Amino acid sequence: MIHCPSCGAANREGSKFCNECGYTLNIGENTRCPMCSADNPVGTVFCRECGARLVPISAPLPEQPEEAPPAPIKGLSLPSKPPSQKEAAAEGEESEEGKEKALRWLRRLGRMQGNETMAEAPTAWPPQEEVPDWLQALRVKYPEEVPLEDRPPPPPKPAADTGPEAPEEADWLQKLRVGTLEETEEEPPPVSAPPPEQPEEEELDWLERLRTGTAGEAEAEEAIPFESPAAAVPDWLSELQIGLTEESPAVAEEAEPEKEAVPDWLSQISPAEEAPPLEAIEAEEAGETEVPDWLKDLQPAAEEGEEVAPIRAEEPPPIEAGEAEVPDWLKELQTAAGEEGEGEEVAPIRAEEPPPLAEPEETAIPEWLDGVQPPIAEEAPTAPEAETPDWLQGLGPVSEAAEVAPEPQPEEVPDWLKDLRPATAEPAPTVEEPEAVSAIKPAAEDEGVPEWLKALGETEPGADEEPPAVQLLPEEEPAREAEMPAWLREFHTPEKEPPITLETIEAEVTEEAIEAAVPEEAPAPLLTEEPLPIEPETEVPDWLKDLRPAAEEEEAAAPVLPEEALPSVETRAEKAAVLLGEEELALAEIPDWLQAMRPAERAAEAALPAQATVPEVIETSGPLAGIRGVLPIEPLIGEPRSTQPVAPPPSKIGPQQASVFEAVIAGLPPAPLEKRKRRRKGLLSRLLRLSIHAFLLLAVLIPILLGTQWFTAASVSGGSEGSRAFFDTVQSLPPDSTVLMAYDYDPATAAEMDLQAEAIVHHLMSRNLKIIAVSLLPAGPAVAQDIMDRAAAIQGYAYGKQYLNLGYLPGHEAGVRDLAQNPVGATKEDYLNREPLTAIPLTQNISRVEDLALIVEMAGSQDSLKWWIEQAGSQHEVPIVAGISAAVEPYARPYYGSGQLAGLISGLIGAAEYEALTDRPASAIDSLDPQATAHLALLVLIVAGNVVYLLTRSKERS
Amino acid sequence: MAGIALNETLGMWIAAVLTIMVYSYLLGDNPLYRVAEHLFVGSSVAYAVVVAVHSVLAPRLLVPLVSGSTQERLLLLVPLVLGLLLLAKVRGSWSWLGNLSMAFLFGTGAGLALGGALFGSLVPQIEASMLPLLGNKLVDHLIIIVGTIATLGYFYFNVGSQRGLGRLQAAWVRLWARLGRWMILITFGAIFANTAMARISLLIGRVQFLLRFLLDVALGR
Repeated sequence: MIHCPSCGAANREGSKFCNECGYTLNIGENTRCPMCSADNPVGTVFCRECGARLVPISAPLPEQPEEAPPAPIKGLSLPSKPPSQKEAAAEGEESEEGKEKALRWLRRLGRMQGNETMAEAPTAWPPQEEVPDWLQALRVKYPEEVPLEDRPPPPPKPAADTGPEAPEEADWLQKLRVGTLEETEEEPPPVSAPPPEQPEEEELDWLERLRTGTAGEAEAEEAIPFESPAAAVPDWLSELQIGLTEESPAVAEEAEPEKEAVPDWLSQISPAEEAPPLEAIEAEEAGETEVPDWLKDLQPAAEEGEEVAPIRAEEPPPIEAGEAEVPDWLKELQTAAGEEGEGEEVAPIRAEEPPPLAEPEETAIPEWLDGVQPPIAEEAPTAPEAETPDWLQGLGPVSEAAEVAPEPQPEEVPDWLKDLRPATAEPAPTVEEPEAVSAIKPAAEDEGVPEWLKALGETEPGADEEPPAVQLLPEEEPAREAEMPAWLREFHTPEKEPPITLETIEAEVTEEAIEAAVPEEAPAPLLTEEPLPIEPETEVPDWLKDLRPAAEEEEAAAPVLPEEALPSVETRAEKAAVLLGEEELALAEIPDWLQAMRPAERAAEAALPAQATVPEVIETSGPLAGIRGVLPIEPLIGEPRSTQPVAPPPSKIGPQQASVFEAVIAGLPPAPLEKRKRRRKGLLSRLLRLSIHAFLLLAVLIPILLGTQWFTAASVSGGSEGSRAFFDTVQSLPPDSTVLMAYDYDPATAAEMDLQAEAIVHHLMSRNLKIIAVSLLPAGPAVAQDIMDRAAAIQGYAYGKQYLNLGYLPGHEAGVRDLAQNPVGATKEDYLNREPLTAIPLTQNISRVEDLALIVEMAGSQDSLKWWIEQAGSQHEVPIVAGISAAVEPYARPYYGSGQLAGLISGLIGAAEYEALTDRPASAIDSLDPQATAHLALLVLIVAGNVVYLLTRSKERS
Repeated sequence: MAGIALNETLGMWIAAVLTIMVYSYLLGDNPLYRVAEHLFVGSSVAYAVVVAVHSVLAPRLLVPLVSGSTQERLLLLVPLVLGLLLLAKVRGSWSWLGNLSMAFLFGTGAGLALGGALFGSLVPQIEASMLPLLGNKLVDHLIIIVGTIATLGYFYFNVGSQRGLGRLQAAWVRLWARLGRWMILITFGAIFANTAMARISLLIGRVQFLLRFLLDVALGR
């Protein structure tokens, strides 16, 4: 079974495409685990290495009872989830619920982007170059008759409002940011991007501003939920909000910064207190932005020469749109709005109280719209209405009581929207009722009215209720909901939804901030952050799909923010483009208005703790449901990056390890005194060792240099028993007999053994004995040849006739055994001339070892001695005498004691003894005094060492 | 003669320098000692190889294989093959090929060692320890007998029962074991002393060589 990585549907083995969505199943490729990068067979649901889920949960998520009301402010963003009308018609509302929930996380993430309002609804139309192309195509063209110069001047900006990045940032975002800052500081900063000199202000996240900025006065508490969600309310919907500032001065003051976060065209309908900052921003965008085309289609032709009126909450522009240009369906709306009556207060839309939809009776310009239009010239010039869809301007419920308001620019407000405006003839003490909402209802019944406008008609103004909570688009009739597009229905506020309060927003923020993701209407570049393909078409209303292709052609013209402003966005967008293989995801194609949504860098620091508390979340909804370690997209993109490194979380093991390490380090370096003592001790021991060497060297050198004979007489007098036995054995040999002399030592012990060998060879030659030399060591033949040649030169021996060198006898004890069995055959040729032994006269009479008169073993080690004794002496009737090194004597003495050795000469003393016995003093006797003095020196050293040891031990004990 | 004299002189210089380099180890490990050590090892191995080729392989294997009779050649194929298989031990995956040669070597060596040790060392030494406690060598024989028994008792680890006669037996064994330990210690001391004596002899030989060399150099010989 192969699970589709796109939709999670189960497909049969071998399927190349998903049965459900047609996704290529990549047969033959491995699925790489996103967590451990392990390769898993295609179709594996869970990683076989780490257990991470590889395939999203395909089944729709279970109902979330606690999530009853969708976010009260669901921003009617244009690119919001657009289930196809076909599905909507076929499956109805219930069938779309699953899909809506599946995509709800995207919207939630959009709301969590730091600007709920903008994330969900790009209502704040960015400047013209920043609007996505497909949205630009939807814009309502600005009346061509009205040149840009004729439009009302933008409101004056504050002194230090505009930063270098101000024009690149979405106005509504700037307003939101600045507005919140003002709220916290109670001091209106510049409207545009916060200056870099005030990092504290930038650090404030919009969420925190929403939470904390409005907390305080009891009066303001009611305004807070209004203002906070105001940022999340889609712009065109926010126009429906009643100027709450009129309700109370305190509320107005606190609402002011929040109002500025509303998009420009929306801010025009904000209360009068917001006018200066709003206008300041609008001034930057004057003449730059245009109304989306799709809005243009909806917008009736504006009258020539009509000025763009800044739509403000308290001061709506004078809408003078001609009645003839209003579509039929809007005319009905106008009629409905006109019937509502003048002077009716614009009340916040509340779900509990459906607005009296039938009230508007006014067919022309509603009075509430007239009243809303403020005298703009009193305070500041208003921003041109080029940025605001005309029809939306009319939606803004404005308060007539606003005294400080931008200049009305009626040319921007279509007539049909004027009708939608609630007539606010008199200043409302509490909240103005959005008449437009109520006026929509009769028009919504018309078939020509778009569904999303029908949804507007379903909203209910809460006239009498207190304004803090704003309920947008309360659900009125299920039948009408069915007619609404799904994406619009999503933002439809049912009656049961609680009013938007600070608590609800905070709760929503804390829950959903974890699931940082793409805003609902985020365009493709943002959606590409998700590794799984997300079909953007499904999120766009069908009626928008038709308009999109034409708009995409203008994408290249969209300006791009400076790279340094969006480093992370670029990289992530490129990475996402690589993952999805979509070229259209290039960085330059990221909509500017979306890039502008990125808050200031410092603003992320406030949001970071909330994310840091969320370690790793398994997606519970959406197309990535079940996948672990999904990167949160929205906060990473939308939230600014902080260049300051974030300290790692404190580790529990760290302090322990640090303490242990400290203890070890503390114990490692010895104290200076100990160092000195140790150094002194090392120096003393070295000096002591050198002194011993020098002492022994002097003990050896002095007798040699002086030529003393202190111990010679005592050493050689009579000789030892072994030496005498050796001498006697040689003396007992008949002349011309052959003696086998084995030189089993090498130059390493030559200084000791050569003296013995020279004495023995001289004795043998003096006895006219024939000598056949052999060696079990490779270096032995050379030593033997040298000694015999020197002795032969003295004794007049001839090589080959009287002495012979057989050379190296390999095989150790096997060689000895071989030689003992066949003395001539063991070595084929001699060592010196390489002549065959059969041709040498000396060996002619030697056929077996018994033909030898004596075996003289010159052993530098006990092994060779043992081999000769065991393999030759004990097996054959041939006497063996040995001249051995002094180190071998403890091993050789038992053989002499047992009679296996006929004679034994040991060491330098044995050589001296033998020289004395042969009456031929040589080097061995001369070496006796150095040897004796060295022995005495050793004795002295041993005694001295023991004395020092005893003294030291006694001192230590004491 | 001039060439021989030059070679001898050069050899004397090399020997003298290398001797000093080796004795420089008395001051601590140093590069001079290392160089001399490596030279000694290298020259020893090289000399052994040369000797093995010239004294063993050529006269015993190669020459007979070339110029020997057919029977001799066939017989020599056995050691030749065994020797070649022994070279297979160089590579791990082929080492099993040399097992036959190694088996032959170990078998031959074990047989020779066992026979030689049994009839060349063990039996003669046992016979030699059967000494009469009479005569002028009574002390020597007594020491040999007591020393042998005590040493053997030291390696008798079973003390038996701790009751009755077993207790007495254990005390008896412990007594001999303690005596045997002293005998072993004395033997080790004798071995060490003889080794030190042998090395002193080597030192004397080297010092005499150096003095002769210096004398020759001083006299210009």
